[in-house]
Amino acid sequence: GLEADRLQATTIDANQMTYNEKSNVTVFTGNVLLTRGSLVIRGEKLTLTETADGNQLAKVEGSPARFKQQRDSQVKSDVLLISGTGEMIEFDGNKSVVTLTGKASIEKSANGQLTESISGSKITYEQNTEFLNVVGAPNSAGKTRVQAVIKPKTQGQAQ
Amino acid sequence: CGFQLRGQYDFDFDKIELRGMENAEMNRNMDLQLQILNLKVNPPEGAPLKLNLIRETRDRSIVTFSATGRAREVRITYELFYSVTDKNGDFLIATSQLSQRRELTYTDDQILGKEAEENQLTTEMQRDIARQITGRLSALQVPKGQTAK
Amino acid sequence: QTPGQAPATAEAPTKLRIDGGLLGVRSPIPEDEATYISADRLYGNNAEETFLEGNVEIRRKKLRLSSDAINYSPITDRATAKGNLVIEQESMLLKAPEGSVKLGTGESQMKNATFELRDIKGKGRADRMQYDGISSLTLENPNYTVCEVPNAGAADQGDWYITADSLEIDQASEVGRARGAKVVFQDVPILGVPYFSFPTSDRRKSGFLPPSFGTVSNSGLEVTVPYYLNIAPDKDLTLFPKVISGRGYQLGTQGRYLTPNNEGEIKYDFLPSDEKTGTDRSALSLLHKFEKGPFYAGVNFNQVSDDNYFVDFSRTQAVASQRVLVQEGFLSYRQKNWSANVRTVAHQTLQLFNDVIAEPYDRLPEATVELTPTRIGDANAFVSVSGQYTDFARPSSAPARVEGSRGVTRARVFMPIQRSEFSFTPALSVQSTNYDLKGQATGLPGGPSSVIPTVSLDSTVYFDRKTSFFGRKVNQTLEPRIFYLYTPFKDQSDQPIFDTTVTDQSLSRIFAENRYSGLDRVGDANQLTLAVTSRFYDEKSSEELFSVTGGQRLNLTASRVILQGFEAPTTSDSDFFANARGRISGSVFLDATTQLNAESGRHERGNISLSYAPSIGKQLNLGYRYTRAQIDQFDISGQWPISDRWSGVGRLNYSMLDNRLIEGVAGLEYGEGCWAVRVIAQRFATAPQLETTSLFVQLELTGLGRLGSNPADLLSRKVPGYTPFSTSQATQ
Repeated sequence: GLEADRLQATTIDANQMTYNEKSNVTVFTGNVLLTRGSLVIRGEKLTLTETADGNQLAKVEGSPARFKQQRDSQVKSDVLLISGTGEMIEFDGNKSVVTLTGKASIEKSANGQLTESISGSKITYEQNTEFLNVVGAPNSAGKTRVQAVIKPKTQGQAQ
Repeated sequence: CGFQLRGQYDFDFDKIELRGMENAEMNRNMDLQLQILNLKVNPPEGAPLKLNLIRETRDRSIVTFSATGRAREVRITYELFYSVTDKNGDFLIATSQLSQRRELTYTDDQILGKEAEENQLTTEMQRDIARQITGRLSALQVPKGQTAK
Repeated sequence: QTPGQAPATAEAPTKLRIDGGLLGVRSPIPEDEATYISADRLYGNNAEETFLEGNVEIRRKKLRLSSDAINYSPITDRATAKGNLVIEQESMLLKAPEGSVKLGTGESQMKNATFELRDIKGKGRADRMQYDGISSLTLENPNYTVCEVPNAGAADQGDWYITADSLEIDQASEVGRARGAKVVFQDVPILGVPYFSFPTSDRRKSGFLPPSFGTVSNSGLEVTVPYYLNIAPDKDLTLFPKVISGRGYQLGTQGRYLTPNNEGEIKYDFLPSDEKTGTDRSALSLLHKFEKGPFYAGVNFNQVSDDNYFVDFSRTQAVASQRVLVQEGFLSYRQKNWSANVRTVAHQTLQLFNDVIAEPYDRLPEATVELTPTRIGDANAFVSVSGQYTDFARPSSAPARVEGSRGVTRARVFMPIQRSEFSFTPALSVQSTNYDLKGQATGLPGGPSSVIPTVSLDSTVYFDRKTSFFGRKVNQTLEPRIFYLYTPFKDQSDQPIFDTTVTDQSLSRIFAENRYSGLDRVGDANQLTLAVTSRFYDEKSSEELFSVTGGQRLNLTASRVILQGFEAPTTSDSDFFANARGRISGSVFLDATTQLNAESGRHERGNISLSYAPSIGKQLNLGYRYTRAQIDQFDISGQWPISDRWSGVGRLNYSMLDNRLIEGVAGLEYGEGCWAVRVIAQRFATAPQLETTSLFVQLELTGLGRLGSNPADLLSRKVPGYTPFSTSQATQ
């Protein structure tokens, strides 16, 4: 994700919020919107748990839950985006890792032009290194398969 | 015995375009045969159908040798590929081929005379093919919309 | 929400800055750029490289790829595969343990790979393989075959295969080019060649002109190892180095070129110091045509080193029978209605010991201008005019003969009245001929000339009816024709005979306006020709199936012009002619002609040919040709399968008049799926009491060209309808 995103505060917005002192878990429901810099995650329900070492884990469920983020690009004028959907999207604040599960799919675009679209059963995306890891989704033949469509970089685009 | 006087050539059109093998003798023979049948060939205002002369092949082979190994009879063949298309290029007669062959005795002593005879026979084969083509043209029904009667 | 704070109140969510890019995807990946991927697992640090694992499949346009693991980089658009790499593109299938492919262009490199080219049944393996993505496959240390083998990797189990240092197969130009190649047949290497190219399909001229082996009675053992050099797309050169045991070493060359305006072929064979004659033997043949707009030009030049050249060196009777070689150059300008042509024609006449030929005149030059039949105004009349000037030079071997120049002008007017029921064409023509001669016999004028008119009336009436012909519904026509010809007698015996001969008498000649060809004589005539033709047209396709014609020319007064030395005076009416020709049934074709002498009823000339061709690879031709006192020969030829592996080919052309075999060909063919062996024995007469006998062995590796001289081509000329084994196999 954008370099600056990591330093941003995480804000969460929702219709209702309940906080459980003992388990230190907060649940947001209804039009949940989590933002941190250019990262945006939407869904119906967000469960925020704080671990002993102060790390925050957000689990967003939706039908489907969606996320979007702007990606780093050497050319300032280029707008590189990554967006994805999944029945469940988890966000690890410290590691800045987004994990999508349940008919997970992500799309990368450059200036509105789709460059990649990948679907699988589990997709993890590390924002800082932009490392992507996709595990197959069960297809009709019962085999778990990753499906992807990629556009080759034309000479101009590839930096 | 059932024969009655009947026209061989009654055309459904009176103008025709003739294209292909522009400077060849076959084109001239075909043109003459069409004119003889009172058809206007390549009129400036165009015509409802087009006769395309695609290509010709000529062949000469020795049919009989004498006991002394000299050529005694020669067969000359002439083959023409042609097609007929209507105004918007659809085939009225798809690319087809007509061929003729003639045999003539041959002696090496009279090679000049035999060469002239072969040329005359080739012209005659071309005229026969031209007559066969006009026979098929007269059997054509030009789509009514384009009859330029 | 900073953790630990009181819950935020339900304010409205902050509005995101709307920016075009942020709106997400507006245009999908275009079809021809999209790379469709499926795999068990996908991972990658960022857009630089994507790793795919678990029976990975990638597809881009017509290219399909599969492998255990592939690392794809969108930047370089290159996929590097490890484990069971399979690449499929149209009819090509490549397999290798590993390799890399540039998806956009399809360029790929692989190691110890196998390949299959399904459309040409070509297959094999190679240590290294490179595909250019378009059509050309380059293989290192390959073996290649076209035969059935368990799998592409086992090409060396084929009945024949090629091994080579390198092999390039260009599917576009359908040519294979091998370097350091070896052809192995039944595990026996039969040919080692530093470089050769071979056709991967039948259409192309065989690049690989395989060596041929044979024995010829007048020359001994012959081995040729041809080389085909494809210099440029529009030029090629073939070299035929040949060892002839009884004569020495011969080099044959054949060059061909084709450009938009020029087309030509040059053949030159040279054999230094022939052991049998001690002289150098050579043959040159030069053919060139030029065409640009209305201008046409050309050269047809043929020359041999000595008179017996063809008798000694030709392998077919047609070539052996050449006695007069033409040496011509022409230039012509052609327009729609008229044309002008200038040419020079010389000859080389081959005199054989007891078979002397009269040498023809050379035409140095001949100029012709011709106006083709053109309508006069819009009357129903056409006129054609032609003028010709020729300088006839007598051959050096006949210094006593007359020679000189001749000018001829001819004009013809005809009025074709063509109704649908009948046609009537009166015609008037005039020929004026004059000469300027040297060496005329004493008492004959140096400048004879003549002006001779001709009148002809030609009329045909058309009848027709519907009937059936051997079971097919046909339109049968009946076309009686009357042709009257009148040419007054003019004594032309003071005119030389440069290029004139008596034409054959035949059905087409009895309607000719001059019984002589050439322009030195206009035959006098007062003749009436009657003929009837009946044609059978297929009702649906209006194709002419069969025709029968009968006719006779009646000399109302005996003709008085005679071609001294070529013609005996006759007073008889012309002979009676009849011809029947056409397809009797689907596979039987008949062509029979007869010529009976009107007075004696004797048979002057006749020939009949019947051919039966039920299917490809099965053909039988029976023929009998008779010309009184000249020809009395029967000609039987055919090709018939003996079993599904063996088939016999043969031809017998025997002259009863001379009790001599004019030509005999006997061949036996054995064929398997991808190869065939052909043994051809042949004997033909080349001169009085002299014939050539030859035996040729030919091995044909399908898809690799014919190994051995061209008995197959020889057969296709000798046995009408002959189909080489490979083609008949391919179509079964």
